[in-house]
Amino acid sequence: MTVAPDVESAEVPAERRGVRRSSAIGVLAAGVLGLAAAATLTVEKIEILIDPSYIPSCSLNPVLSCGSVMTTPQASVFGFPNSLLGIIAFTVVLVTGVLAVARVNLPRWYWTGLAVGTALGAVFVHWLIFQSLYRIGALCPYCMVVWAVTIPLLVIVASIALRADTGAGAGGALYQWRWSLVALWFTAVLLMILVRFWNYWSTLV
Amino acid sequence: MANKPKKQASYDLKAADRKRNLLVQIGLTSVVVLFAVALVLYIVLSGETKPEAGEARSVRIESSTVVKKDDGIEPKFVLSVYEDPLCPHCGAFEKAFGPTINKLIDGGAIAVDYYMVGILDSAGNQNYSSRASGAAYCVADESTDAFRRFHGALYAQQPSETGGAYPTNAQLIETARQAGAAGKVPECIDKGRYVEMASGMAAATEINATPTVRINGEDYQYSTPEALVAKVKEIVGDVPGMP
Repeated sequence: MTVAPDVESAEVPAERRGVRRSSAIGVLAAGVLGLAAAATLTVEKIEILIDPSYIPSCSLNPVLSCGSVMTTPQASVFGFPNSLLGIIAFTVVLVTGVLAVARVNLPRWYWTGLAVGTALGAVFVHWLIFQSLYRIGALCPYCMVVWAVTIPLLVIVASIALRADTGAGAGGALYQWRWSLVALWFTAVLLMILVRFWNYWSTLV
Repeated sequence: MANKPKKQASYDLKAADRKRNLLVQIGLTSVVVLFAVALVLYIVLSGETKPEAGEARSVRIESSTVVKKDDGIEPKFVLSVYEDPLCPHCGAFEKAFGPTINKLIDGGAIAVDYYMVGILDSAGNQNYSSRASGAAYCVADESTDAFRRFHGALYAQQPSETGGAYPTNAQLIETARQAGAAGKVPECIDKGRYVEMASGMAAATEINATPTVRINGEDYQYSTPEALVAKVKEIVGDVPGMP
């Protein structure tokens, strides 16, 4: 009786690639935030279509302005507003988060699929960051929520999918330092924003 | 049963290990982040929008009641004055027109754009033209009222174009202080933040001589203050309190 639980607690998490509580909540939170941002963007986009003079709730100043961002070609790369993609993708993330929090066992291939999808999303997000900063020259707060959510989500989902292969070597180091990398990524993006719009920020001081 | 305590112990060791690793990780990451932030801030702040030659900034002086165009944004009468702090004709111009221009500004009839131009730089005057012009922009950054006093003081104590002593940066800073400009002004004058812009101002604004006076962007041949007032009346109409 005393041995059995021991064995179980030692083996089962590895076996079912158990999703840690924190990871599960992380996925759920990313899903909620991302979906909220994508939904708001979609609603604002519809408002703009109804009334072109509508000023979105997130157009705060010349730099923080989603109105000017949402009406660019980059905001509808695939011929329809990007936020529709966000609604679909973050709904999947949200549902996955709920299942993970509820401790439903999902097969590894599912997590791998989600990781691949999130990786594609991350590539897209980086393209959008570049466009927003250096081509459009404005920041859209709701879009930035999506940027901020996608990167940690990729890290969480990828580490769930790859949990078994986190030994030594480069992969292990990468895994161990993943949150440091995320912190550095956030720092880099924030600094790029700071430098890019310095002329504007400095007038606020 | 014999196994269990051992396992427990190794687990605890691992936990302590992990905790230490975590702290190291957080520490190293914070160091890198702070370093990156400090480096970028340093670069951004030290190169803080130092205007280059070719940029043409002016100091706009107007009263809050200045008569506006129909669009309600731009003043109806903008007098642009291009002056070198050292040129004798500018000194004469200020002597003759300064009081009238000030009255026109204060009465709300006109807005004035002062362009400080450094065209008489030489080794002999330690580039006084551009240094004093740049200093005027430094003062204007702090307060336009201080700029008006500083600008007046520059011409009231104008050094001779040919020989004599030329105010050093320290003396310019003192003049600025007397004009009521403090804050970042001493540093700005000392570092010559606007000096390059001032020395490139003549080329940037396409003027050939100082003083050059333009009314709403068009060259104006000034003659007497009375003629200028008449011109203002022609464009703006009668404004109470006009000289």
